[in-house]
Amino acid sequence: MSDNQAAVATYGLGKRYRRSRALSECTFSLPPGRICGLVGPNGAGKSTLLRILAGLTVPDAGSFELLGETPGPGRSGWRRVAYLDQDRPLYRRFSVAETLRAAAALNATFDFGWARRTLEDLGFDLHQTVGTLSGGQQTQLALIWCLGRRPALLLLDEPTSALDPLARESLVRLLLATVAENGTTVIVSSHAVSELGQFCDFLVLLTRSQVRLTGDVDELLASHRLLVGAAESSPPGTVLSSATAGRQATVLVRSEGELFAPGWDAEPVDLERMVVAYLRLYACAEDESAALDATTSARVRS
Amino acid sequence: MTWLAWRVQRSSILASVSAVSLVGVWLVAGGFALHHSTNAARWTELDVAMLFALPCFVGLAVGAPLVGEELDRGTVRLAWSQEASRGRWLGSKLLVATAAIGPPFALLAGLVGWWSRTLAVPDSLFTGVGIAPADFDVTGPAFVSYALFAFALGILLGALLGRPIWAFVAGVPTYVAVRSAVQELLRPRMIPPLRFVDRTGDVPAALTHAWVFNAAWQASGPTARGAAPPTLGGLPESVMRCVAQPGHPPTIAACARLLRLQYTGLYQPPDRYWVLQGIESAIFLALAFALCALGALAVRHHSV
Repeated sequence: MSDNQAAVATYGLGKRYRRSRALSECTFSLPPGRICGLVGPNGAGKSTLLRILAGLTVPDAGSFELLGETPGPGRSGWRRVAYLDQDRPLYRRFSVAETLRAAAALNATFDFGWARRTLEDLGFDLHQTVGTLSGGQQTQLALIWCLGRRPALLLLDEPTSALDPLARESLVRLLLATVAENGTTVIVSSHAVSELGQFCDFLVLLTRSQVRLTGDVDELLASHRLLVGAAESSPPGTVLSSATAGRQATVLVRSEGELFAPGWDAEPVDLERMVVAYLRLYACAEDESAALDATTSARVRS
Repeated sequence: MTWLAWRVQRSSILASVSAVSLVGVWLVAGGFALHHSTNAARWTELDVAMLFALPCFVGLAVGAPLVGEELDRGTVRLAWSQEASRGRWLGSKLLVATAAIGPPFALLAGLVGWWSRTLAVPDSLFTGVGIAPADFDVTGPAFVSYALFAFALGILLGALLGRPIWAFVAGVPTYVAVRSAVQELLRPRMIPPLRFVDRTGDVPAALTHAWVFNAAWQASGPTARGAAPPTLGGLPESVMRCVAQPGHPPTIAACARLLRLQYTGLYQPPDRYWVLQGIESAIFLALAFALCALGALAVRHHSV
């Protein structure tokens, strides 16, 4: 795989469930070695996207490439792709040691010694039954299963949800250490945008089954500015959000290239603020279009 | 892979093998009691019912959770996102489960077959040679093939319904329907049956140990227009009245002769046991194979 080849590339991926559209026209390209944050509200299609990339769900539309190949039938295209499900499914009646044995049985490449050492270092009792482990320990075990496969691409669905801050911190540390060592490409979905800001260098933002924003985090931040100025004047660029306090307005704008804004003070924006602005923007847009739909249908009825 | 398949399925397999062993022990114990008893003790209806139900229940109990439980618990999302393909995953499970439940059923079928041959109490539910359904269904390769059929049925239903308990509940009536259909519609005609005609009123010697069906009384001899004589069904009332009337011959045979009636029907002689067993088990093994193939297809195309 050459350096400029994408680790993950999707082209118009779509998935429909019986009633609702889970994903539509999903197109993005993720360069190798990056840690990509996948953000969006509940039900935006994050899990569906990850399950499609993990080979668990078959998309209705579109195609995708993993590590420079289009995965065919069977698992050969997913040999170096590891996936951590949202629910952390594990065999609950297995012991910790048996779980590692299962991981080795299902994978030709599995670093059993590393996984065992890591678990012992984390204070696991290898004879303990998985079902009796705490939620945090189950997540750690599931993550070590994934990391032990030495994947080139790691897909993590809400890895830190339902963890206390301490467990969260140790999990992130374990993840980052291993990923940095092996140059793994990671896609990690999360609600906690501030947390993603600590380690993500790439972003895919999904709302209501569609990709709204994607790209390198630094580039995205560079093209967004927080402007403060007089409320009555109109700011340059594309306004994403605005808040007025008295006669002063604070607006978030997007602009490619240099932003020239006389009468406005420009400040850099952080990831969380930008993401929240986008989420709010599309939530509002949807409310408006829903309201529009309602008036249209009311008019049709009368 | 085999280790994992065994580890995941071992509780359902152990429970099933224990059930089969218990029935075996129960029958052996009953058999010893029988052996030492002087009166005409024999297997009860309960024993026979147990033997009839065993392949269905055990097959479904191992088959239904094979895919169904992993779908239910969500562990498929772990197992199917690894390097091993879904085909290999299913294959290893099938191999382990078949190897685990096949031999106990073969042993039990052999035990029951030997038993019914040794027993040979004339009025037993087991005739001793075993071509009538009571013997035929719980002996020989057919008995094993029923278990494998129920097992495959459980796998497919589990894969489709995603819940082992529903698969079990749906599997029992399906099993009974398929088994009855084959027994009632196919098995009598797997080899063209022989016809017996009796005008003496005694049971013909050829029918000893045979599987008799469609037996009925008929008016004997050709009718005026040469058409087949009408069927009268069970023992006709005219015969009963004849036997009851004073002054008439006292036996059914004599009355039947007097009234020009004959007893006729179809039968499969006992020496066709192995051929019928071969055909019957081939049918159920083919069904089992087809169900497994459908199960594999369902597994392959399941989006989870």
